[in-house]
Amino acid sequence: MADARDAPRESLSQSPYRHWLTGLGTEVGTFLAFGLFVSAVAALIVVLLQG
Amino acid sequence: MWIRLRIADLETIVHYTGIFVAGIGAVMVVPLATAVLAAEWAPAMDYLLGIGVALVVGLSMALVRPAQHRITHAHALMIAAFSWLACSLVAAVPLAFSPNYASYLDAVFDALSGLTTSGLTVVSDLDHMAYSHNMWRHLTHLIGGQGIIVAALSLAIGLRGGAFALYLAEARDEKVLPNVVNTARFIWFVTAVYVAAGTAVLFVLNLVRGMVLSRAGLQAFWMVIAAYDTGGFAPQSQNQLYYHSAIFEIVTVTLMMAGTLNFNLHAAVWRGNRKEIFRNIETRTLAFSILAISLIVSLGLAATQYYDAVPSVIRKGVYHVFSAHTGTGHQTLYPSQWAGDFGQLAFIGILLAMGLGGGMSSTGGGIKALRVGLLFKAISNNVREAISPRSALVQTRYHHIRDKVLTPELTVSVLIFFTLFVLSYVTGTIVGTGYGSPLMDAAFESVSASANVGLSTGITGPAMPTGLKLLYIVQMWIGRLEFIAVLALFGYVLTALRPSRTS
Repeated sequence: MADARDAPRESLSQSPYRHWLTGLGTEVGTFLAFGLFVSAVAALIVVLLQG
Repeated sequence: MWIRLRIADLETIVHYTGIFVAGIGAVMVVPLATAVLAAEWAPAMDYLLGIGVALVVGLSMALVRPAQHRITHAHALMIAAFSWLACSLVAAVPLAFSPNYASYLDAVFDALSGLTTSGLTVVSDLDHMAYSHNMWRHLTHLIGGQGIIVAALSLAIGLRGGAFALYLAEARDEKVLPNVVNTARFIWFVTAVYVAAGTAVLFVLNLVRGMVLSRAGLQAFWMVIAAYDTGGFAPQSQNQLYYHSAIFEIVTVTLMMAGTLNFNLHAAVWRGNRKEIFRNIETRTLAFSILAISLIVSLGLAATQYYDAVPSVIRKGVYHVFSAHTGTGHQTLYPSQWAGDFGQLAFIGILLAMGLGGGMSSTGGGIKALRVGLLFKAISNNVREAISPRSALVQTRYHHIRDKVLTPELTVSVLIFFTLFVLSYVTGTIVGTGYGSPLMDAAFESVSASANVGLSTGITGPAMPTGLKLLYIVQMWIGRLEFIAVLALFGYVLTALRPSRTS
């Protein structure tokens, strides 16, 4: 195994990660939508049970 | 057969462990600066002493020069197991001088709980803890969540041959980038973005709610670290309940989910492959499991006396499913309410969520969603084989970053990890029951410790018997490193103690 310090480096700015902001937006949007969906299903269950 | 370690092997292990211990001392500069800025002079002395101990111990160990710098897989496992323990022992030094800890063992408990991002705590009078000690407790989440070895790799400090072996030994499954140093740096890049964004949002919320500037900023930073690193510590004894804010809960749940997402998945999405988040077996398993357990918990809460209204089902039920499943452990209940007011069905749902855990190569703990998904694939594969003609070749595929085939070797590996986690959960339950705790409470605490969650029914506290403290310390340590590194350490120690056979 080569020395960790000698390995070729892939700079973030060069970068396959130039989409990081849209990636972040996708993740946060997905998490919020999923949380809302789970909460809505839970609420529906309770309303149906008590209705 | 176990290979007996030689002096040269021990030199390698001691040398690299020393580097990590010294690194812990370097990070203690942050709570020291906090103490100076807040004019907390007694804690400032604690951190000066802590830095001194860490540097003297760490650099003395690092001065042991290994005969060869190449780190084998066996070395990496031993270094990972040993350095996590050694770093916890050193990180506990300044906490032990705080009046909030009754003994050095209690300080070690919290330091290890912080580094393993468990969040179980034996602190006393947390509401009056010095800013600097709170800063250190939460920083242990940040260091441990990303990984002590990942932290060192990202700076490439003193690590020569074998960096990838070390990376894997810290319970990571694969590199995100072709080079392990850049992989470590990417992990910190994702963390920095989420921590900065989350802190900004919670800081504004705290200000709006009337906190003074410094307190608003510090509490926002600490809660974000604890949520994103799926840790569970909080600066107030009421934990998340202290804030009484639905928006605060939404922000922290978003951070918990980001923290429990596999870093390989972050990399794919941040490279522009946005569909990966919907196709990946791990996110699909996690989503299905969170939804199914939320339904169980909702059904359970609907039948209770106190939490049967829709807002309560969401803020006490669904919130805790996310907190438990991601391995975070933030809670909006008093510990005593779990066993009483929460209802048995909902309680079992939370227990299940903790045990299953979050994503691989993330800050989360537990069995992990990828393994759970693969286990169900393996069961489906076996059923298909049973009903197919003998000559048919049954092959099961799954998607994790790319399309892959489920091999028998992978299935065995999944089953081994599943069994080890369940054994750990059961062992902790038996010992906890032996100490007089009710069965379900003991099971809850045991799963919480092994899966590095941090939710507590109240068993964990300063008055807990020493034996239980030691048990949960071992469970948190072994669970964070996913057994193999710690079991390898035990194996080598036992081999070393056995008299050697001479022919």
